Amino acid sequence: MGEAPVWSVVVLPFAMAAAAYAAVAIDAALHARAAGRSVSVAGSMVRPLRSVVRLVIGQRRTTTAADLVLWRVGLVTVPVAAVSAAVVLPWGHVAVADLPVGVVWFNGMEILAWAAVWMAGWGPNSVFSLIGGYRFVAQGLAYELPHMFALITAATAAETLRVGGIVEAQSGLWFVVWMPVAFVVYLLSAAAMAFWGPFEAPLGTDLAGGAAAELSGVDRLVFVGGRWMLLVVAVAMSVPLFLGGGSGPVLPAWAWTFVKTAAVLAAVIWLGRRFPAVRMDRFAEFAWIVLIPLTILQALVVAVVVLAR
Amino acid sequence: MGLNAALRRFAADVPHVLVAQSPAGTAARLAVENVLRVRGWPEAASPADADLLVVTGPEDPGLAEFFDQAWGQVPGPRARVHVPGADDAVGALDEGKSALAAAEPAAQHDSHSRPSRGGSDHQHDPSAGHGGDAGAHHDPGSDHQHGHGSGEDLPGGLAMAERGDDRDGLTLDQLHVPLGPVLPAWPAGLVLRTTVQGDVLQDVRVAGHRRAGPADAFWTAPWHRADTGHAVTIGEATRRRAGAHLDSLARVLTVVGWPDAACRARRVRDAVLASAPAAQVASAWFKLAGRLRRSRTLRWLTDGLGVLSSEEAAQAGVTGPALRASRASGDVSARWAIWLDELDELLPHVDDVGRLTDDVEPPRGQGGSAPLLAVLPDLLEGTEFATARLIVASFDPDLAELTSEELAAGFLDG
Amino acid sequence: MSTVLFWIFAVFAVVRGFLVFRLDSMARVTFALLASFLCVAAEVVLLGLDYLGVVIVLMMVMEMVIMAVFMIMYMMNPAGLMPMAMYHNKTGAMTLSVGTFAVLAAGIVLVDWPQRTGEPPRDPTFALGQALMGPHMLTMMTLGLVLFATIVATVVLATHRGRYDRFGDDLRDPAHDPIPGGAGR
Repeated sequence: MGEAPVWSVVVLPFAMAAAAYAAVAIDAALHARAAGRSVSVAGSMVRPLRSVVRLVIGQRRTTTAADLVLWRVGLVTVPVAAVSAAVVLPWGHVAVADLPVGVVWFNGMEILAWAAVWMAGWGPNSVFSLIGGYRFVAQGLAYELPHMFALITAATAAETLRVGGIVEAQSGLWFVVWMPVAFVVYLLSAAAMAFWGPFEAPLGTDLAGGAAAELSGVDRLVFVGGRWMLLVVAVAMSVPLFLGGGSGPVLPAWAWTFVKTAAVLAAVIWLGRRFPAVRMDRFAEFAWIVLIPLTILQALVVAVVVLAR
Repeated sequence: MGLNAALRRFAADVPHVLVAQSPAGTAARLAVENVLRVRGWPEAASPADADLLVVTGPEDPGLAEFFDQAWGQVPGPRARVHVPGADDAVGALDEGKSALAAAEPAAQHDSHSRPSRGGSDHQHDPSAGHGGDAGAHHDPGSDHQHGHGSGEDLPGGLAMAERGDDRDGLTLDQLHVPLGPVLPAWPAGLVLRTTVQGDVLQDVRVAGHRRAGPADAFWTAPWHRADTGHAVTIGEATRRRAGAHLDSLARVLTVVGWPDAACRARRVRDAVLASAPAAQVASAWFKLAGRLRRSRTLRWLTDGLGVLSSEEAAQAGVTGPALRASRASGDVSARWAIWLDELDELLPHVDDVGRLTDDVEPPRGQGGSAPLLAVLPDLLEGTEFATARLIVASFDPDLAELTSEELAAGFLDG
Repeated sequence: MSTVLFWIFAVFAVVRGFLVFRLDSMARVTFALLASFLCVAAEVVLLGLDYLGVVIVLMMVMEMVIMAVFMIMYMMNPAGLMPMAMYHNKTGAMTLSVGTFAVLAAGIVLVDWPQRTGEPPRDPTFALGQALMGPHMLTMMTLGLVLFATIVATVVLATHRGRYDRFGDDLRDPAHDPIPGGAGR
């Protein structure tokens, strides 16, 4: 496992944005199908571009007695957190930085979204937006512990916190095979962290958009775009953690990373649209008394296997 | 300049549309929603995300103020169109799109003249208290705002929050927030005057606006015409009833956060109302119904919410599906499940040419929507915001159904 | 390079910490404190304690967000936007905090620190854990778990919506969940 040259730091945000763009295009195509419109590849690819242009030329707005500082800091933190987390994401055999504490770094950057969404909800001084921010904090309390245990399970099996090390430890057997619970819980919490799909309550339609209710123009682009980047990075991380990273026959490692990431991302987006949005008054209890024990059991099994090995 | 104009035209090709409906504008709204779905124009959840404000239905002075306020929050470039009736939808939307494409590059100018939602001078406008909308701020001029504390040093001229006991016995801030009428999947014209603490609704009063006048309720129109001596077929009434259920179902699915399912429900609704043959409608419906019935998540999310017992329902004069649901578990799940069951029975009969008789009831029962409004406050108080939204959607009262006697009796005067 | 970074983070941490006393909004104060902690985390990373540094980021973001929620919940304040001082007894608080800072900073300069002998360990986080806990790590971990369980149990027993409210005084009533429907009980 190597580290990419320094210029990759500049490329990373653009690569993330491109991946997020592709994810939005998939999502738009699926929605068009549900609405009974004909779906074309070209149409699906152009549609997000229109949205981007629309937001770039659109007017930014503020609200009465808004807390502009926290609001804008919160908005910008979402894509910043996503890109920072992506620093440890391996592409084939290289990552921008293969930190010795990569898994913890990844989780630490994800956690920034807590503060970001809360600040974004708080900033405009609007009831709906604030409720959206609070909803995300509740959501964080529900998904974060299962998420951590899922991460820890993979790290335990590899006996390292380095993402590269976790990939190397799967050269024989992918972790998804013998820790399926951790894998599923990981993807579930990844969607929750990106407040996307069934976990979209913080931006819920019932709240008129929740934390994003007062956003327009570039502000909305940064926040919603950052949200898609969070989803992409969280889902992409499942490949090195559970799906053997870039390993695979015939194709080079970078191609395998691409194929696996695209497949998982498409599957998650497809699945996500098939479920209604879960509310935290129901899900929090489920997370704490079902998911946490399940992930702890999974971690225990893995730990025993590692000790016995 | 050429580039800017080109970009505006490019973006205006798919505008985000905020639909604001007056109670009598159901037909126009359905037409607009149909066009939006076919063209793939997204519906905006809040004014901030909209380019195009579409007001449907006849002018309603009571609601104009709300719609103007929503319009004030739409960021530029923007356009506003009025769709009085179903036939005007396509033309008005096209007009809105060209207005958007041609819109002045007003962004800079606008951001100065409208620095905020409402703006500071707006706060001293006595009518501002009725400003209920997606932005729902602190509702400064609200008629039940307490007197002191609205001094000049308060930020933005907003009033100080009050305090009240919460359900855990703590004394916490509370705000007075009007909900509606410009909210996604919300009954047209309905305004709930609420006191919220965090996202818990502590006190709810039903208000709202409905132009008193001729009976212009879309969903009960066949029954009204039959009453006035016109020949109406069972099929026509059945289509209307099924359409109403599907429209309400789509609202529940929107509020519960399942956009794809909501979209499919609207497709079936549009097919039913567009006189599609029974077989075609039925096959689309059974696919959707199967998916909804199989969804344990959906049930899990709506079980146990807003339980209306059959005694309470009967006492309030509730009729139709809501009454039948109260004989089952009486919760939100029961209410949408009743719609599913009734749709299963209704859809094979949409081509029945027999004459409409009294034993075919209108969508919300003989008692109409007034009892549904009457039971809302008790069910909503103490619920969390998301739950409250689901409860409202599961009754989906239609303000256009209120008779002038009911209006006089003060059903909307909360 | 790392010296420059050290000073940048150090100054930011102190300034942000001081802002806690200057800002007048509950939310901003909380996030100023968070920014200060994040700078401290960066300093810890500069010391070579990567793990501890990143864990500080992780814990502090969660902690401060929850703290913001609680502070705003308990303080009468229209959504926290009312100007509101974060301290009482202005002079006293200022004297104490600036004084403490001065004493600690003076200590750094005045104490005769020992010269480094030998090389830094390969994994400083591990070495730090060894130095602090030695062979008692397992004991401390267990103790931490017991303490945590005690706190949770105490809260559950004490809260008005806890065990007795749900199951009645003799704990025999059928479960009455104030927010039903979660895991189906």
